[in-house]
Amino acid sequence: MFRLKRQLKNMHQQATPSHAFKMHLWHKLAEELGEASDCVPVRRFRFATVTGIASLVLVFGMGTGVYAYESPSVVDGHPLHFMKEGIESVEGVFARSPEGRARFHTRMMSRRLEEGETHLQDAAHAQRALERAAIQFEYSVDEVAGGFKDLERRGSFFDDLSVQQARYVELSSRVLESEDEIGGPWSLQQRVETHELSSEELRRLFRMNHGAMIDEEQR
Amino acid sequence: MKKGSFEAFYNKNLDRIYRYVFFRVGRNRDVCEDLVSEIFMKALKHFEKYDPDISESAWIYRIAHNHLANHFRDTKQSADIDDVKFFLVGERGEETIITQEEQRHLYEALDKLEPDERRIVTMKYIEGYSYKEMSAVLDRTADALKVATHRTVKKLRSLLKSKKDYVSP
Repeated sequence: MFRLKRQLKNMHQQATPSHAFKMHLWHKLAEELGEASDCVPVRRFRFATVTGIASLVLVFGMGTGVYAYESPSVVDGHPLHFMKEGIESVEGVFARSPEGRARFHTRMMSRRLEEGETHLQDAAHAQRALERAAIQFEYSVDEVAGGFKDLERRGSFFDDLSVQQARYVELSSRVLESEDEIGGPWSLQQRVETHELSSEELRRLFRMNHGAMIDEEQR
Repeated sequence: MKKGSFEAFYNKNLDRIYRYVFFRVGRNRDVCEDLVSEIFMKALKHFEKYDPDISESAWIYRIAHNHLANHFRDTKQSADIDDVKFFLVGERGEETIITQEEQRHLYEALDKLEPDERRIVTMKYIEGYSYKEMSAVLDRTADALKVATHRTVKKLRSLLKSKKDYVSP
């Protein structure tokens, strides 16, 4: 008693080459292949070259990126400015909570001020840096007002932001000829007027130039 | 030439070509191994011409076919390479090499098929080709081959049914 498919399968099995034959023939072919082909070492050389070049590009790219990100001399018009902006954008993506986003904008404000300080001799660059720092300041306050609930942490954050605010005022006094120009010491206060901040928070935020505010009011 | 490509090609085709040769040289393993070695050496020599996009199996199948034709010509044997004869001279009788009754019946039934039918069945079930690969080798559509294989298997079963020990699956 037998079945057709099983019988055909048996025939299939019987006509299978032995493992020894397979190995022996492959060794013969591999030997022949090694002699006939000089492409294998060439391919290895190509692989090594491509890997080497890719590594160099990667290292160079990372080094350049770090330099662009860290250096305050990289500002608008610099060939690496796009890298700096790109890295900062990525950094911004990772700031998810209102507090994280607020702190991110504060950090960006600090970076813009640093750029302005580096380009003090170039009034146009320094002014642009001030404008951009003011925008980051507003974003920070916006994030705090929008969803930063913990009062203690809010207070602590305003203390940190007030340091940047004081830096801004100090830099603008060195850069701007007239206090009426955009970026003057009062521009930050104007920017947060529409936000719902308590008088205590406003006081903490602008405490470092409180004297200047009083002087102005008296004037 | 890429060693990896040839190794993949070798692994895919060795068993099938071995079986193709094996049943055409009277199931003589020594002769079969010599011929298969020569076929793959030839394939290696001309591997640059191999284009798997055109056909994965037809190329080596054609080399095997031509090599077998040369072998039969050189050894002054007359054989139809496209056909396979399963029953060998001397297999009948008490001193038969094949002792299993069932297998003897199957060989007899296979030999009763038309050469085309035998070729389809051996390619599909013994050499192990897919319908797609068979269509490239035999220059027929896969659908046509499916139908033909189905009919041939049916015919083979009916041939075997007539044998005393056979019970339909």
